[in-house]
Amino acid sequence: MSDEVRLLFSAYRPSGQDADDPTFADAIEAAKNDPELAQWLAEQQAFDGAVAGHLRSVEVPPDLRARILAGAKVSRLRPWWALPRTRALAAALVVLAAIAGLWLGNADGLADWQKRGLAVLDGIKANRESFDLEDHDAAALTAWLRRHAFPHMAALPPALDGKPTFGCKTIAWDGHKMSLVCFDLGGGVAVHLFTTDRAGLAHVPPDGPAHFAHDGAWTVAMWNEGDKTLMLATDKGEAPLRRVLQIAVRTTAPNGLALAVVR
Amino acid sequence: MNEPLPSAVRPIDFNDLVDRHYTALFRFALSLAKNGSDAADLTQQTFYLWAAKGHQLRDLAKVKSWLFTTLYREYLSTYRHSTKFPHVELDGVSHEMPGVAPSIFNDIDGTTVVAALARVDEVFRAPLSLFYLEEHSYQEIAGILEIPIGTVMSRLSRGKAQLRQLLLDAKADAEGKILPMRAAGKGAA
Repeated sequence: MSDEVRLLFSAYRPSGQDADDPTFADAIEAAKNDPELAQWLAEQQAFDGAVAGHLRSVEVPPDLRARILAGAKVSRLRPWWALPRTRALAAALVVLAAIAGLWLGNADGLADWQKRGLAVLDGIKANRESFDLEDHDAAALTAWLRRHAFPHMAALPPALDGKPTFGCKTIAWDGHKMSLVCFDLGGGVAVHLFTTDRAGLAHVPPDGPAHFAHDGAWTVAMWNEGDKTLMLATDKGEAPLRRVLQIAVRTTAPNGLALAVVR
Repeated sequence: MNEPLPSAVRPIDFNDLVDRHYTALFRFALSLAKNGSDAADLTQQTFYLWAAKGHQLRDLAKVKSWLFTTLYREYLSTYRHSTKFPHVELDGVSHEMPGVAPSIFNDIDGTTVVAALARVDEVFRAPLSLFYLEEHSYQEIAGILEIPIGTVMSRLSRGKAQLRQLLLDAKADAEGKILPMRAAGKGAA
C-alpha cells in the first residue's frame, strides 16, 4: 500500500463530503480491492469521525452571538498600534516632543514618496488598508515581493534578521514602486522598512549617514544603500531606529558611516 | 411572482452570516488560541472586520473562506508575532497510524480530545482543526492557510499521528498506568 494513497486519504473527510471529489476516486477504488487498505481507511475514518464529533460538541459561549450582533465592544486583539498603552505612550511622546521643541525635522521636510509611505502606514493602523501578505517570516515576504517585482533589500540589516514580521504592502505611483515590511522588535515596538529604487526618485536623501526626521507620531530614518533608497519608521522615537541602523550600517557599509550614525 | 435572487447576488444579511458561521469560527479559534476568552475575541474581531471590509467581497461563495482566512490571519498577527513561524517540510514522513485498535479511543471524552488537539504542534493544528470541523475541503484549507495542497495533506497526516499519540498518553495518564521500564536486552516487560 503506497504512502501516497494514505496521504491522500488523510484529507478525506469522515462524513462523506468528499465522496464525489474525483481526486479520491482512484484511491477509493483501490481500497475496494485491497482489504488491508480498506481496513486502514475504515479505522482512520472511525477515528476522524470521533474527533470531528467531539470538536463539534465544543460549547460556544452562550452570549457570543448576541455580543457579535450587538456590536459589543470587542477587546480587540490588535498588533502594536492598537494597544492602549502604545497609543497612550505615543500620544504622550508627541505632546512632550512638541512642547519641548525636540523635533529634529518636520513633515514639510519629507519628500512626496516618504509622505506617501507614511500615509499607507497610517491607513494600516486605522484599518483602512491591509497588508498584501501577512506572514511572520521576513524571508517569505521578501520572496513574495521578489515574485511581484517590487523593490526589496537584498539582505536585511542584521538587527532585523530573524525578527518576526507582521506583513508587507506594495505601493505604486507614477511609475514608482515601493515596498513596506513591518517588523516586530518585541516589547510592543515595531519598525517599518520602506524600500524603493533610487533611480528616478525625485528627492533622494544625501549619501552618508541616515537622516532622521519626524512626521506626526512617526520618526523616520532615511538612507541610501546601493541602488535602493530606504526609510525606516517607528512610532517609538529614534532609539529603536538607531538600534537597527547601528548594526546595519556597520555591516553593510564598512566605510566609516556606522560611526557617524551611532554618534 | 418575483423569482428569488440567486444567492451570489443577494445582499448578505449580517445576522444570517453570523448564524451560519460563528460556532465553527469559535471552535477554530479555540483550537488556535487555546482559551475561550481569546477565541471569543478572535471570533468577534473576524465579524468586526467583515463589517468593516467584507462588503468588498463580491463573490458570496467565498464568504466562508474569507471569514476563516481572516480569523487565521488575526490569530497570526496577534498571538504569533513573538515566535518564528515554523515552515516545516514534511516530505518523506511515514503515514502509518500508531498500531492501536480504534476502540481504544471510544471512551475518551470530548474535553480530552479538544485538550489533546490543543497540544498538537501549531503547524499541524490549524489544518487539523479545519479538517475536523468538516466545513472545508482540503483545497479550501490550502487557500485559507495559504499553503500548497500537498503541504495540507502532509500536515494532516502528521497531525493525526501526533493527535493519536497525545490521546494515548492522555488515556494512560487518566488510567494511572505505570509503563513498565524496558529491561536492557529483554524487551518490554
